[in-house]
Amino acid sequence: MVRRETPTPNNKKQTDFLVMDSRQTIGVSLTPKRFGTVNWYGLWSLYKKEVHRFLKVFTQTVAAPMVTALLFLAIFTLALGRAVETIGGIPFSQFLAPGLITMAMAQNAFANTSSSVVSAKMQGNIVDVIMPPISPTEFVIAYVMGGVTRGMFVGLTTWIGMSFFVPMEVHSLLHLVYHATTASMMLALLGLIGGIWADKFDHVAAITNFVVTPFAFLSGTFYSISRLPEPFYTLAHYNPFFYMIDGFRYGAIGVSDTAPWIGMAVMAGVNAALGLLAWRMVSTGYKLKA
Amino acid sequence: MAARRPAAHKVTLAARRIVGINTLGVATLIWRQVIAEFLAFKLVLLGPALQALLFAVVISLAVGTRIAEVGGLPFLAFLAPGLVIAAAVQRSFESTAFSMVHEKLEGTIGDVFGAPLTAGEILTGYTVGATITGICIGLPVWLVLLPFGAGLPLHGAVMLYFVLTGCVILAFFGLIAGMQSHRWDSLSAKETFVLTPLLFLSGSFFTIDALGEPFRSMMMANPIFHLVNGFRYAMTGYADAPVWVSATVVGILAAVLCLIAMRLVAIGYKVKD
Repeated sequence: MVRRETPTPNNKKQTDFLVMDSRQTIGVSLTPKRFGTVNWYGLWSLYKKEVHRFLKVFTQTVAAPMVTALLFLAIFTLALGRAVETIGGIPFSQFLAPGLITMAMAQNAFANTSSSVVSAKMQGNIVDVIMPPISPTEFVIAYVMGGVTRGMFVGLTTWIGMSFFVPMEVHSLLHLVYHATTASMMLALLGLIGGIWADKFDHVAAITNFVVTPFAFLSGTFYSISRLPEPFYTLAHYNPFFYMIDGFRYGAIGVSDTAPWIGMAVMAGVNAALGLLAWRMVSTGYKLKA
Repeated sequence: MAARRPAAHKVTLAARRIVGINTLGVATLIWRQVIAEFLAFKLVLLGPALQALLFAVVISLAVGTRIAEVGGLPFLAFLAPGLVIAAAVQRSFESTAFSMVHEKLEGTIGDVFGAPLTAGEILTGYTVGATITGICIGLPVWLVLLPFGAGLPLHGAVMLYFVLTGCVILAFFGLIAGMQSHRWDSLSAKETFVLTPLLFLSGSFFTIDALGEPFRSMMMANPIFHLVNGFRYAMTGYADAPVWVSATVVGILAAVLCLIAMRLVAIGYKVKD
């Protein structure tokens, strides 16, 4: 890791800063800092940057999704609660809550990585991430873990918010944590890939509107897919979002539309494939390096 | 100190006014508001329509035939007017609020406030632009909902009244919120914590009968409820509350917000510092 300058207090004048910088250049040769196979320092810094980025606007990135999820819970329970009292023996609101939490986590994990990469590209400061000796693997891991962290923050606050209105249970903590992590990871990877591909914010908005939202809505958050007529029932099984919501719901209330281990395997497979794609894009510098 | 300028010079610099109104200025402002929306975000037109389509599909799948009727209507026919007007008024809010914050951050707000436009003309430009944008968003939503039981309006004049008043109210509200906000996150806080709850809990998705007492009165106090109620009456003939009450409430609200927005624009609140 190249050490460009020692951290200066913010109130230092620009001139002081320049003097310090040149003195340091003279005193210390600019050879890269030695690190082992993994640049832990770089990885950790990039991850920290990603987390601080969303924590700085906490109301927009964590509180707002919680409010939206609660509103969805309210309107769907009010609108459909009388007609659809139970799904598979579970009260409708209890069936709905885990799906809404997963949706909120997924959408925010996607928003975190995609907006970070696109805004860095638009503002030109993406070079600050590409130039340092951070390997493609470290790049992908840091961004994705940033997205996963936001997903977890949103999931946790939404869970707490919902527990005031709906009895929330944990049927299997293992499934809950596994699916929360893999769901956030899948969408964070999609966000990374989409962000690298996109040239402007509109492209990200298009992916959100035409890919993420439809997949999330049609994933069985609002209904049990066993109710679907035939071509759609089979089609629903090709939607990876279905497995993440189904698995998370199994972890919460112990009811699922498919066997839990299938969901776990699908999520692992999809994540591996997306991870490989993202890694490939970063290492070839697709739309990142001129 | 200042030398007297020749009168001719003054005349050339003044805006041309027709009946005391700078028509060219207002038309340009409206045009800019509408064009900015669609040139910058072509796909924005389709976003709300797709969202409404997803809502309709998801609800048909979740409910199936289990909800036969709400207030004598098929459930989706009941739902459609709410989705249409909610999409239109939300976009109208965003049109004025986003451009206000954007221009303030970019520093181009001076181009509007420095132009020879009166407060009334600025307000008209922004509001009419936002209303046109709102209608351009509402129309595709209505179109995609046609196969799900949205129909032609029963009372055209009533529909027009509620659409226009709704868009105008939210345009004023957006202008006020935009003028108050210095940063994007303070605006989005207003949208998330004030506008979205009002929109979602406006009875677009459920009848007022689904609620118990304290909430029922609270909903009657929600102006968006009156917009949805009036619009739904115009489209389907079903109303949760008397339509003349809703018409009065939204009319008064529009007038009050108009005065506040006018005052803020006139003094250049948080703009002319």
